[in-house]
Amino acid sequence: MKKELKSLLLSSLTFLTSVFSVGLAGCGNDDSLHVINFRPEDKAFYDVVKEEFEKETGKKLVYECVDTESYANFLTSRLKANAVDVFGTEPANILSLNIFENMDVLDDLQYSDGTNLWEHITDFEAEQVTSDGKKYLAPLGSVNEVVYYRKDVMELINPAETFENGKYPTTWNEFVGSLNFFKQKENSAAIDGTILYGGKQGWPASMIAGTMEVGAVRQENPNFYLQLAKSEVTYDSPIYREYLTKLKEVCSFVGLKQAGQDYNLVPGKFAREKYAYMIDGSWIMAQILKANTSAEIGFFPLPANDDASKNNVVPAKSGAAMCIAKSTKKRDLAKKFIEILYREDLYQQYVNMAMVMPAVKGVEVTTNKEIVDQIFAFPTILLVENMAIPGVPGTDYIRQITSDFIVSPGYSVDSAVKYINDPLLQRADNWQKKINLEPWFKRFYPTESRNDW
Amino acid sequence: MNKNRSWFDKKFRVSPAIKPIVPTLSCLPALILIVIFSLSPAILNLVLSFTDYRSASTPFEFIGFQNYIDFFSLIGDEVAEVFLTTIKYTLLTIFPNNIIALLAAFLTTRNLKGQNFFRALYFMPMILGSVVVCFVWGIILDTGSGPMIKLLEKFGIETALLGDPQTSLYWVVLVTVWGNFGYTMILYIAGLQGIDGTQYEAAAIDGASGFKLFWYITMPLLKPTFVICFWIGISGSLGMADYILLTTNGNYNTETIGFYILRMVLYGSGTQGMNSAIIIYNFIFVTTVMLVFKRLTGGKKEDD
Repeated sequence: MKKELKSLLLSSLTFLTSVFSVGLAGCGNDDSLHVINFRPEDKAFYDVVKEEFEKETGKKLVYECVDTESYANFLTSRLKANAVDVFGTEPANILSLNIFENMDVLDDLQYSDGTNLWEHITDFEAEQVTSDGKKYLAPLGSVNEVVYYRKDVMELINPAETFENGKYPTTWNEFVGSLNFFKQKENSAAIDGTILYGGKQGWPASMIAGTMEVGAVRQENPNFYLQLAKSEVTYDSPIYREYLTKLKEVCSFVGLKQAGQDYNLVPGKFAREKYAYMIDGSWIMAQILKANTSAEIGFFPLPANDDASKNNVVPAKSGAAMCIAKSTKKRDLAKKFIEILYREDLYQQYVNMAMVMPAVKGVEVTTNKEIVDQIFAFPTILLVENMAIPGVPGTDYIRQITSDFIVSPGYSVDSAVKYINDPLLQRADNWQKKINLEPWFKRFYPTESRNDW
Repeated sequence: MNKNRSWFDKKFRVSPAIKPIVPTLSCLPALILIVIFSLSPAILNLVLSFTDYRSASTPFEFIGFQNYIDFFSLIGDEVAEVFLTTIKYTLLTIFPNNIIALLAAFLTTRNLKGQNFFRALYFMPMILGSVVVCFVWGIILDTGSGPMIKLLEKFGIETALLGDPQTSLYWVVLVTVWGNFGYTMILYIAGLQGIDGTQYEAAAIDGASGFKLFWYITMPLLKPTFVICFWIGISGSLGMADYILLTTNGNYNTETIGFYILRMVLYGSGTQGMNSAIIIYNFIFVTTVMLVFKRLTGGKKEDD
């Protein structure tokens, strides 16, 4: 019986410890403001913000940051536990119901001069954080996706004589011509590659698809996705087929093994080795400059259209934003934290560090100005994946199609169309009857007459 | 006085009426933990699967079996593919894992020089954990600068390794087996050491040696260990999510049902009710597989 008693004592101790720990964990009743965010590269900036916040309010700020890839898990668990007051996220998550319903309305944010903050936010940013006329996120800046090129490698093709604008391709034909030219150079080992790509993480495929989509789809038919949502068209339509055909052609210039290359190593590689093009986001510009400060880099919108005038727009999205959690009991403090972020000196520091298109009117990036002005010179249109129609096959499918085009040259456009269109047709009944598309229509096509649906 | 009274009886003078339930009382704390942390979430999940529950801050209502019906029309095609990948992954993992583990166990129970060192070496990946294992293999399998691609190119093989939908799953299997065979090896070592040596002596007297001893003595006597190892391996593979998350993040045809559920909970715009229905379907699937396995291994009378 001595053994039984020991076992009883041990299991009781375990039980009591568990209960006590759970109880303790629930006792987070402190005065600190809890902020969580992704992008660890911004931590130094938020350390400064933390100092300012604690000085102004006399309250403690707990700032936690995890790497972008693990953030979704971290955010979800914290939201479910109601253990966060302010959280960072991409404005695209306004369409993700699981996260959206945790966002508080931010219409009352104030700017440093006492006026309403929203009078100072650009229209492009404001519309991405608005749902049903209310603002749910405080945007910090936008990023775009362009074709990067090495000016020294571009010299090989004699751009002054080859391209209409003398610098880079502006039509689909010019672009494909340059791809073929550089492919020959690659084959003769004059350069390391035609298009540099780091596909191991999977998501970079959507950058190729996204930059092409602008010229190939929306510049041809701005209402394509509206028609898709209203079941007036399917993916098996001439415009979309042509888009996929062009996408396949571009993917054929990406080497197979690049699909297994780590995306994080690509900016350094582009800076140091000789690749003609890289399709990527403006956020890696800082990494390229860090890897090789003397690299001469240029940028242009991917010309997926035969008409040059339709190739002057780049896809962009608001890159990061802050939200106040609906469950917070410290809303005033949370509001204060966000307002401090927009203080002129601090916000300027942020845009210089992150190298983003400022969300606040009249603010400009003042470091590496020459390059920044070039990359942000193009008019922008919202990235297609940020227009995802709830329940309709979209981003995941086109990403898979892009990957398949890269690794399987035999993968046909017909197969790709079937792959994305079959689920659209199968689910049409359900997503039309059961999934509420009204928020999507209100967000993107607010003037559309609902009588037509 | 009865000299056979136990220490407990002498110390506490427990009434004979209460004494029979003392063992039950001893189990009670552990039972409460299981009820709170295992059974309750499972029951809650079942209840949620009949609702359109989204989060604590939104109202919800009971919708009966609608989630179970909608499952087929809304995401059935996706999930069917995921189930197939899961079965493929399980079959590809289970056999190499056990063969390599058995071989390693066999070699480290022959009283050869350095066997303890090798046992520790083979078990090392288990100590490192999935995060470190996948990080290291991520470097090895990176096609930009990793050694694997350089080796394959020497043989004229062109591939994107983890980025190639045709081969990605096999590389994930390799990483999984490498990371887990140490644990299975330990179970086989225990099994091998549990075999009575006189069996071998008797067989040797009858003229058996080498492979015949292994095949006719060792293998049959290891059957309970096989069953345990396969049981653990199958149930682990069917629920695998961490190796998938850390190697390919579910891309390139490597999404198993464990990972799919994780992705739906984190990123999905569906309701938690639907996610709960997917979990119930997965539970039915796994239970069916395990019952079939039990039947195939004649599990009724075996000591498993």
